[in-house]
Amino acid sequence: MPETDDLAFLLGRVAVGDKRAMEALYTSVGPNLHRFIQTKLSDPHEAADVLQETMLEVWRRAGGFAGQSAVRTWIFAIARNKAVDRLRKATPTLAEPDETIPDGAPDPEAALEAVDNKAALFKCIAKLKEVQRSAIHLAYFRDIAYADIAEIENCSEGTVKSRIHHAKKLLLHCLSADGGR
Amino acid sequence: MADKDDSAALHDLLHGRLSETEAARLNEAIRSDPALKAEYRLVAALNETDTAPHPFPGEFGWARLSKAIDSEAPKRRVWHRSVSVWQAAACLVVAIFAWQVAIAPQLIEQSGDVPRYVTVTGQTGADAPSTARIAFVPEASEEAIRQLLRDADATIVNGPTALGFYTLGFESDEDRDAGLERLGAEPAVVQFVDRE
Repeated sequence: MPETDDLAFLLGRVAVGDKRAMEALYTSVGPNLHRFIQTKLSDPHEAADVLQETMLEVWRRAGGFAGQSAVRTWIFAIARNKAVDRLRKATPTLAEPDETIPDGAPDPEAALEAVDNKAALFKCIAKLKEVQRSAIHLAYFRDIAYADIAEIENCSEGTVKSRIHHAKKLLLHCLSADGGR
Repeated sequence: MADKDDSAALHDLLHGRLSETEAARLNEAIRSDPALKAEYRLVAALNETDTAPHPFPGEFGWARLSKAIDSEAPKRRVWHRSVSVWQAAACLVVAIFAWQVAIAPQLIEQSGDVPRYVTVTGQTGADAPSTARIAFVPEASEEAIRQLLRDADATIVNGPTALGFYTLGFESDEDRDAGLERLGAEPAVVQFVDRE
């Protein structure tokens, strides 16, 4: 039975107030949900708070789950909204800066040399916009389809593709420039 | 950066989701194009890179959430507000129609000691055992699980699923209810159990 059926079963139990099902749901989706939240919020306390708020919202709203998306997608979308709310509260007047992709193609040899350096890669990932970081995390590390990412991020599939394309371009530039330093 | 289609296909290549021909063509392109090669290595690295620096709150997180849940008002089994009287009535009409068309005619044809009902899929009560879904504590030993299942008169009939759930079969609903009570009393072995 696929993962989605298990989650739907658990959510159905949560909807009627089954706390053990809620614990199983938390154990199942919690670790990946927490990773996803950290792509948006770097502060560990804030990330833990948003995880808590998201799961509490799941507990409250399980009965109203319409089944129009997969359970996992629905939960991740709740987390995304809560994380974005936090970001807006933290910087109410500041929009994210426009991305500036350096002119010219990145040096492939230099990028190849730096890509296996985890520290350099982390540094370059940290320089991405929050939406780009989330998109590459969901698409690559979690292997989630673009259509589902679009639903989680409340944007079009084209926007997801564009974010991933630009994120890769920026990462290659960053890695080739000075090995991510 | 490399051709956009090739660029998008790199992830599928890594996961073995391309046809043999397409994979061979793309591998050749990677060999001959240094920019595409660099991008391929980047995608491979991103596939393996967990960008989350902080550990999952785990048990501490659950304890906190559990406390918050306990302070919420208890849930009640009610109709969802968006279900109107007309929608409920429509559901009832559909159910009555389904009964008259699919089930009732077959009941009429039954007699003697044959099963008392046959669903439209041909399944009878005799070959549809009572079932429950269960997840075991990861640390529980195989012997402890076997013993508990014997005590509860339960048999694993399906599983494990992607999340480690098994379906248990019982001889009857009464056996299942008794079994659930027995299984639920062993939190050291059973993480979650409930009827399906």
